[in-house]
Amino acid sequence: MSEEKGFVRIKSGIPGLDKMIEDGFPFPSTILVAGSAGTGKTTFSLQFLSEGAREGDQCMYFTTLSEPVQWMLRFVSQFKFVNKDFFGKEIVYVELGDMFRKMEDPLIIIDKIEDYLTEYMPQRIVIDPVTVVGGTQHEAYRVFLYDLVNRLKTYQTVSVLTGEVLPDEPYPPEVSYVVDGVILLTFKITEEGNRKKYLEVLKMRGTNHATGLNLVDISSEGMIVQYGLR
Amino acid sequence: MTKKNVLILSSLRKLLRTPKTKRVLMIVVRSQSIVRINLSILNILLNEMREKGIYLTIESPDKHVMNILKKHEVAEDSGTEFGKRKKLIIAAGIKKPLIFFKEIFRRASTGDKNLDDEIRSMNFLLIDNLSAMGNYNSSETVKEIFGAMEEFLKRYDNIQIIIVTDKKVYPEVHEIAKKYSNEILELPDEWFAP
Repeated sequence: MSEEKGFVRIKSGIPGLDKMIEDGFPFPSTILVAGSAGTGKTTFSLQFLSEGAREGDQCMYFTTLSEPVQWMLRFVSQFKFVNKDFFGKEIVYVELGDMFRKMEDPLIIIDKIEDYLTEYMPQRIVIDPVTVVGGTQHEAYRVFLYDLVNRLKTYQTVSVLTGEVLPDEPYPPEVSYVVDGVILLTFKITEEGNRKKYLEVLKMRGTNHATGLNLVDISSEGMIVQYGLR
Repeated sequence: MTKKNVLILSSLRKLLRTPKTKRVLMIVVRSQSIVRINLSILNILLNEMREKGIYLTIESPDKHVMNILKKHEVAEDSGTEFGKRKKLIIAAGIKKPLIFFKEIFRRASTGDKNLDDEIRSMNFLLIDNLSAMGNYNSSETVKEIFGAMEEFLKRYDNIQIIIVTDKKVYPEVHEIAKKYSNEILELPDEWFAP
């Protein structure tokens, strides 16, 4: 078509980020948010879902960890962007930790996720963290990722998959191949011994995105990207 | 169910009960809500109004559509091929609209009476989602699809076409579609907010 207006953009909910990616995530798409412990992946995810809930989107949060989801929600509910009335309604949460711990067949796990998707038909999804699957599924991991991402795409959603990485590993390569966007959350220790956090958009299909590290603040307001500040 | 959901459903019911003499109905809605709106439309047409029809989907695979329809008990009696007299025929594919109409015309020209009878027993053709056409077709092809749609309506005066679209995506496709539509229902974004 002559006019390139084929992508609907949805707000990420992270102040400063949308300016870097042409006003939001392409809809539908699957985005990997990767970073080591403490870089803000779960905060990012909940901020993304809270934005959706405010816009009237049905949101789903899948945790692959074994900890009770209320434990995590208890901590994130201290952020000002969180509306606790969204939990269980606009933001439905599902624990998948048990299935992964029992090393169930990856296709059974995907079918289970799909059951939830057909029931709730969400517009925004978070799977946090998806990389835990690599630890339990080993050689079936790639097949799991490929199949998972393909099925998520057919549901016309924006899905955020978080990926835990080691400090010396930039991002999980297996996941980055199959997703439409990769956002890295990193940190550096300054000469004064302070820890500075950064966000970098590594890949965003169909988007003329900003490149390079951008300073990130995480406070009671949530995550804010200081676009242009290095 | 919230007041806003009731408002959306009552607006859809009112539109879908428009007499069949109005041949093309258009529903304008934000992209994020199209999957849900299609499900509501099919539920009203198939289960409340007891109609039969065709669901032409551009981006959703047919297995995926059947899965959702089954899960929500909207259309258990659905299939992907004519000939078995299903309540709903699902035709899916990014180039499907033009292929679908051409195939119908080809079979009709060879005197395929069974197909002709089956379509004459139906009531609607739902196109999901029109905005996606712009991703895979030039403006010329989109016009060709609408030309084929007109020919289809002339041949089958029992059928009403329902188009679902997001006007912000490929506005020129939306403008073309508007010219062919007899009734337009716009569902404002704020109706979807909590």
